[in-house]
Amino acid sequence: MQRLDDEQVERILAMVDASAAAVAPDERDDSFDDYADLMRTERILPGTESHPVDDSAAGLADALIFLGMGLTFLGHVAFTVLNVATNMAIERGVENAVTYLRKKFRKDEIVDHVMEELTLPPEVDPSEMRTVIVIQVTVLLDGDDAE
Amino acid sequence: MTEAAQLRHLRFTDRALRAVIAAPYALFVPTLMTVDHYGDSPMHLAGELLLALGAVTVICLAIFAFLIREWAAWSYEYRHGRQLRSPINWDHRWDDVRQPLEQSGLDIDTIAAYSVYRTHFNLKTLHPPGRSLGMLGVMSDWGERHNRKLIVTGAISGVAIAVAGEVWPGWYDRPQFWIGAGVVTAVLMPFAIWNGWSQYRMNAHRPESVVLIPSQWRSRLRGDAPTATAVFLHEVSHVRHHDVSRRRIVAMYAHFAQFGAFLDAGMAFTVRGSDGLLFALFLIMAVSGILAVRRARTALRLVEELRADAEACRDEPTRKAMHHFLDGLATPTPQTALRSRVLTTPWKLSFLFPAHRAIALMTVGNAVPLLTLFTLLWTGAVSPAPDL
Repeated sequence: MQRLDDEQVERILAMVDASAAAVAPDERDDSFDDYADLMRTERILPGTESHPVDDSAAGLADALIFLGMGLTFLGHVAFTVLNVATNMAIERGVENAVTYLRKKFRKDEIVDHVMEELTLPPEVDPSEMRTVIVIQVTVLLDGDDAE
Repeated sequence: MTEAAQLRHLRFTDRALRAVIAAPYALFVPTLMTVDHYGDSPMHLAGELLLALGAVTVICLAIFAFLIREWAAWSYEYRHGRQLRSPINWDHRWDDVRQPLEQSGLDIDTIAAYSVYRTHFNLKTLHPPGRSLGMLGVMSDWGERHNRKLIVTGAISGVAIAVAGEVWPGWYDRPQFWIGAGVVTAVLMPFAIWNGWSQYRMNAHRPESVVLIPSQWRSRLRGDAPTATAVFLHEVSHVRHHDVSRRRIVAMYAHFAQFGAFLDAGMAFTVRGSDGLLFALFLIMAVSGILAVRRARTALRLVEELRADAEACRDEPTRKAMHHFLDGLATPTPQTALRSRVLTTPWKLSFLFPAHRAIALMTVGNAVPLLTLFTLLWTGAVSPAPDL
């Protein structure tokens, strides 16, 4: 679990908001405010908290279920996008990652890097995933707060 | 067979499986009595019985002390971890989930539920154990925070005492030491009893379970009333029967019951007979007892799940919804396959075969041989082992 700074929180939220509007509109309308509140107050990516394995818990099924492209999953993707983009810039010794990326790379290149980095659950359709990442990278590079 | 028959079978099987786990403790009484009676210094029969019962009680209480430590650890974990931070207040945003549940006769406000953000999840019921009130609770948390240091200190003290016993033999064998030890015990005992009693009431007698709901269920199950009802009522059944808190207790006692079954198998060596034959009997009794306890522990969970399914799915739409839900899992297991089959076919007693096998194994492989040996020995039909 990693503490996020204000800038990271707002960027991830903008990316999640835009991609959720495309792939999970119902959940966005229903829960985005709660999700954003939690992230702003606790400065962590929801769903990445360490949680102990309690053997006595009575689960509905003795297997984990992928919950689909909801806010939590989109948050994880946005976090990866941000990490990959930052790493791409840092590797070249640049401080302001977003400005650098905007000048030097095509969006497709960044999307390819993110696709390589993510381990996709089998239930996720790669082409849909690509759409989500394109939306998020677009938000990251074109967003107002990216200056 | 009818739904009532199904629930009755599940209830009986549940009791029988708990008896399988309790059996090694109960059978330790005749084993101890035999060892006492045919040993070097036999006592009066009533004395032997009382001594054996007392020993088993002390063993059970000692295991209960382990259980209290485990409760303290999980209580601390759940209070300080971040898992249980968003209690669901069932406000208007939950209406779509709330309505079908209330229509099925559930008083939703009585169920404690928390929502969590996860990418992969499972609806589940947890038992965050309660903490004793006042100073005892504070001390229990302190013990949990310094658990490792306390264990290391205990181990070092143990070694130090052993060394002291070698260097200064009999250092403790003087009145001051025993009076001191007696005073400390007399002072601590009321606190231990009070803590044990309140822990028993809070975490075993009336435990509080909570349901953990992934935040996404709200939008996911909107408009799918049968599935929302079936899966939630399944968890509510676990809450109502205190299944989760019981699983902790069963796990702890089953853990030590395996060793108990091994000790009970030693009953084979209390009679006179050929070594090979007695050793074979010992092996059969030990292996059957240990396996039966392990299988009973697993089968108990199956029985709890089947009961939760049966209580949650009382009409055709919910049964169908649960069946589709279980069949749609990405990684089906034998347990989910069986549950799915039970939902779509008429109830048969043979569904409980894994449970009945565990019960039979304990009865035939361990309890009957032990009690037969006990009867034969005490009626004088066979003679005791010479070196008992």
